[in-house]
Amino acid sequence: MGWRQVIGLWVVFAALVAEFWLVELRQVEPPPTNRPERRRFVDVDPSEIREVVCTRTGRSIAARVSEGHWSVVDPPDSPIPSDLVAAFVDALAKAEEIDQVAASAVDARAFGLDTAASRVELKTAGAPVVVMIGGPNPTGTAVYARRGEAPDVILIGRNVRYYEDLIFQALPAAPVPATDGLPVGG
Amino acid sequence: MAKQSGWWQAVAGALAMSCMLSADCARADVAPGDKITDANIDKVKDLISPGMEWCIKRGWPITIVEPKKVEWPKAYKDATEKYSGQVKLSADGLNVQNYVAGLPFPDLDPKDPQIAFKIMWNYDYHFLTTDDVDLRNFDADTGSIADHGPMTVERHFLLDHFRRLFWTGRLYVDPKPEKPNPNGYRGQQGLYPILEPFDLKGVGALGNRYIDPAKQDDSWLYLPSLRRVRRLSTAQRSDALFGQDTDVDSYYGYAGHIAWMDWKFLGEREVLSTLHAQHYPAKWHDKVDWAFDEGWEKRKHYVIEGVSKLPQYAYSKRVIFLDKETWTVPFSDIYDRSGELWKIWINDFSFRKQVEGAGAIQYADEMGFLPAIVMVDIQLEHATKASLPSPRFPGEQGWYFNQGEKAGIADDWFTVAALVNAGH
Repeated sequence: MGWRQVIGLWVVFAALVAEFWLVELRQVEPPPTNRPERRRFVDVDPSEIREVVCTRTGRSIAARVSEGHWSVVDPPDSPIPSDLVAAFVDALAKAEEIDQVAASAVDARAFGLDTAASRVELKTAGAPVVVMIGGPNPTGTAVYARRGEAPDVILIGRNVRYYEDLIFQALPAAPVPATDGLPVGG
Repeated sequence: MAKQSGWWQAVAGALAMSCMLSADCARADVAPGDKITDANIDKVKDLISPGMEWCIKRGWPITIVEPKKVEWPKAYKDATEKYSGQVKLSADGLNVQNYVAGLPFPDLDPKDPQIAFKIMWNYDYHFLTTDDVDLRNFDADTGSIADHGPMTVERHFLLDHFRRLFWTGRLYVDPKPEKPNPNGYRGQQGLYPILEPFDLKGVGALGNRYIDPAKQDDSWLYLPSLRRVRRLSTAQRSDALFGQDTDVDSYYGYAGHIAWMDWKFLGEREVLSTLHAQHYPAKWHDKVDWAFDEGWEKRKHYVIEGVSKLPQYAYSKRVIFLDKETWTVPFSDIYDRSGELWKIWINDFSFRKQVEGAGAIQYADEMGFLPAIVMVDIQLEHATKASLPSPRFPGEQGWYFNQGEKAGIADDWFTVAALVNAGH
């Protein structure tokens, strides 16, 4: 074998090694997802939310954030983890409009947006943002919601409602009111 | 008249108050023997997740059984008592320092700002597998699922081995508690070779995980048809593989690195789970044959949210339920990037010392056999169910825990060369 052939073989070998290191061993990143850009359900920066108030079937909780830590202020001494409130606020503030289901006045009950709905108020330095969260869609993957008094019914992610369920379930059962003060028997 | 009016006001007030309370405050509850279907799902509404609710409404039957205690393995309990006092979690939650073996954080305080990370590190070091495990001869079906009906099987898979080898936290197989570890491995895992279907014969996957959270997993996929080994990125661990609904990161409920997620502690609650499955191999429901037919116990769980730090990750978040005694996951809901419920992973555990059959290994402690798993794609109404082991192999124990080389768990099995070799 002539020296030219030896050099040639070494060049081929070096090229193969380079290809192996630069191409074969390189981690293959998946292509960017082509997910359609969707509009946010609420126009609020999560970091600007200072207080949240949730009301459902006569019960209510209010929580405030201070230095990244959420504390439930009403009812006081509630065993609701700061992280749960943070996860709920984050999920709602980042919720995307999956679909606009109805654009005009509709039967609110059909979407769980009647008395069974939750009213959520997000307080920032500016005007508060109020939304109504209704029932799940037939497939159970999302929930119906409304922005304030707007008639549109929007589909947003199911986890918003689920986190809110967890918040209310973490509340101790409301005490049965004492009957002493009632004029029993007159 | 005034006296009568006061009495009626009191009754009406009490009635109104009780109605209001019952609407929201009455907690759903169950008793052993209860059969739960979509007709009485309200009885378990506080004991399940939205994903499980979807499954029950789709026909998944639930039978409530008495909860039973699971005893920790003695060696694990001793190691926890001996070493947990010295374990520290770094300020960023990403490094478990001074860990030797056992449960790293047995004493948890819900007010601890690091509680979510500590729970997930406890999960990572739980006693389900401390040294090694070999799962043999298991199969899986994937296909669309009918409402209150069966799966239309699109693909049937038969797999030879799923093996895990841990390099740290070892309790049974020498060397312990850590193998000589110049690479800094936490563990290695392989799933290969696929035996059926024919067009995927020889395909397999392999991965190394490092203790150092800054190091990404090494993950490889071997495709004999292309004669190529493909290296996978960490984000691709969330992609469904082999045409199934399952992804590697969802194995067991979560199998990614703890450091690659931001975790939130959503609280504690009672949840239904299957920890003492009676049927081995798994028994699938006669009519809804993508659902395992087992008893469900009401048990205390932690609820954790995990959001990946990787922008290419397929899911926006996981909501993971963790049994407070066994640190296992009964089910885990998974959401897409829009926050819409996408998938659920469901485990069918059977803690026992021995499976039936002559020659089956008798363990000193109850081990976490897992005779079935199901992963459902709720949006596509599609599922993958696996029998671990397959009923096609009578007498097969399926799971072999902490057997070392006796079960073929050797360092050279977890190499790309072995992966390629097995695929030929």
